[in-house]
Amino acid sequence: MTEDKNLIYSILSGEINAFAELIEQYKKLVFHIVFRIVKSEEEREDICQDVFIKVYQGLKGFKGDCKLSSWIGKIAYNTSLNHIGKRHDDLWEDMGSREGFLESVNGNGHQPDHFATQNNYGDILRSEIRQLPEQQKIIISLYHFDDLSYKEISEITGLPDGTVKSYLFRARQSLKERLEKKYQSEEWLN
Amino acid sequence: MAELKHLTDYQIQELLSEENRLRRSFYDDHLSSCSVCREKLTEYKKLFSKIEFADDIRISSDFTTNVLLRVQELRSGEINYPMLVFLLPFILGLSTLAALELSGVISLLSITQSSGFFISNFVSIVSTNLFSWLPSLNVSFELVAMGVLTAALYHLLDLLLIKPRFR
Repeated sequence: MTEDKNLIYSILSGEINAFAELIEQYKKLVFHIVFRIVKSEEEREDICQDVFIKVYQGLKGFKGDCKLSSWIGKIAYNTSLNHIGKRHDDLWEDMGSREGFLESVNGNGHQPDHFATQNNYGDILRSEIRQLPEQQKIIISLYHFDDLSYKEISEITGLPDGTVKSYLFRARQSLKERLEKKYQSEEWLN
Repeated sequence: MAELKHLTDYQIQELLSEENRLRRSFYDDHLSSCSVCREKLTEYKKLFSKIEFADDIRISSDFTTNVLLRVQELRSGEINYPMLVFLLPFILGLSTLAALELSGVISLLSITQSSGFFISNFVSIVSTNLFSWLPSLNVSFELVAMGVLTAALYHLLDLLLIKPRFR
């Protein structure tokens, strides 16, 4: 937190290199959020740029009542939602039921694939994560890729802690079930 | 028999969560005697560790540079408050000189045309005229008031606009 304060102080004092440092520190977080919500590949990077411009413009109004990562994440989240023209509630209501989702995964006649045919485990998991519902993808990214806590994810998405946990657990369970259905368990576990 | 009731997927995931490590002791007894739950725990552990390496986001190498270019465009059009704070006394000085010139207390033209060192003449004439003129305006009070006002204005600018509010 102190590091964040020093960084903000330097940026507000006019040090452009300090802002470059902030971008380097938080660009992964911003990309994870924007890329999960915005579908258009051409527009994603521009939106990420817009997020950092908003961060720059709003920095003097940041009061430090939450972590800087949560504040930047929230700007990325709201900017992405505004871009696709959705409200927060719409995004979370769009999610299909877990049963329907699993049915679509399990009932499509796939025979178990072989892990050996894939390049590596990373590719396999990436492909499976891409097929998760958007909301689960966002939360799994924030928790596992950006190391955010339930509280921070809750601050970014505006969802209660319990709901964040629930989405996260459901995402991992779906992922595990998908991998078990599609691949031999001894293969995906190795 | 309590051990027949297996842990749920939710409970097993909770065990692996960084934030819930302390709860582990509650389930240790069950795990030590239940191979089904132990196996499930191992599966989730492996899934967790594999997820960490499945990040698929690729960021272009010139992203930071592009943002900084846009920021610099923005900065060229915005007020530079630190510069303003330094300019303020300068502007106040010029205004005072202009006021003195207009009120006839000093003549800038005669100062610039005078012989000798320009700076020393300038300072001497301004200070002589200023100090002979100011007492008639109840100088002591106004000087103190102006000093306090300038200090307060500087502090206010510093506090609200230059440094972050939560400092």
